[in-house]
Amino acid sequence: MTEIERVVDASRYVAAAYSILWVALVAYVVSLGSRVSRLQRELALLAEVVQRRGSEK
Amino acid sequence: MRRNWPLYLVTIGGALALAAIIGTFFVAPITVIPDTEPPILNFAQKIFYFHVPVALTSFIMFAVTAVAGVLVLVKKDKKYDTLGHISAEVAVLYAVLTMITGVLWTRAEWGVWWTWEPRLTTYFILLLLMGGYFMLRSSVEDPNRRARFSAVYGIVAFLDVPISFLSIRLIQSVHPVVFSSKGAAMETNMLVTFLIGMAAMVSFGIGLLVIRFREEVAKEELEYLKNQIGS
Repeated sequence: MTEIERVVDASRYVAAAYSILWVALVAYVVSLGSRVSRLQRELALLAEVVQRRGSEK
Repeated sequence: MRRNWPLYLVTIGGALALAAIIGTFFVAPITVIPDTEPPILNFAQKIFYFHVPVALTSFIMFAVTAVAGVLVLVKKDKKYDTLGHISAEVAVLYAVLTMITGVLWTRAEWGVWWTWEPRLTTYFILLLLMGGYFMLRSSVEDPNRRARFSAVYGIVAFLDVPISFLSIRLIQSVHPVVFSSKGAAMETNMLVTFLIGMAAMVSFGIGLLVIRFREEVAKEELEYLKNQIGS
């Protein structure tokens, strides 16, 4: 294997390592972000229900 | 400002990670495999700049699980149980990424996907132990017993962290030891790149841990409020 072939071969594994690492971390952040915003929506809805009940009394 | 600090930590982590990537590919030199004539370029070493910070952050997260376990047993407060399983979740994420990047490095460097050497074996055991942690949690229904059992399990599982860390220092292994009592076996620009990557992964991890913790606490409070309104 020539020097260039060796670097090209290693670069495939380097690219795979960096891609998997960042795709996984970004996916985790995105999924966490969407869960937090859903939670905020639910909390707002709950606050509305509580407020409505309070005004009915 | 005070409320959003974990989000800022994640953002800072992302920015530092970008700086570390630039450092990895444009500042740190490509090393050569020792004792080779003519010298053979070691491009796969570039994986090191993120593989090691991710692995060390996983150790920090496992330590948080163990400390939270001790606090569960001493203070008997539910929030420490929440912290324990959330930190275990982040630890597993980081541990899986450590395994994947490590296996890719092993393949590029040693020409094999896996070898049963001390570091890989003890780290693999750690990952299996954490799998057991979540299986234990899902098998115990009573919240108090679940908190106690998983606290003890988390503390015992953590014992594998120092074993894994010291394994390549105490037992002869093919796994490289970069940091020893003699210091770091690398040039200054490589060390700076590594430290930026380390700061990136730690701040990213802590930010994710706190956001995930707050999400879990808010979810529990929401459930409680829903039950209160429903009854």
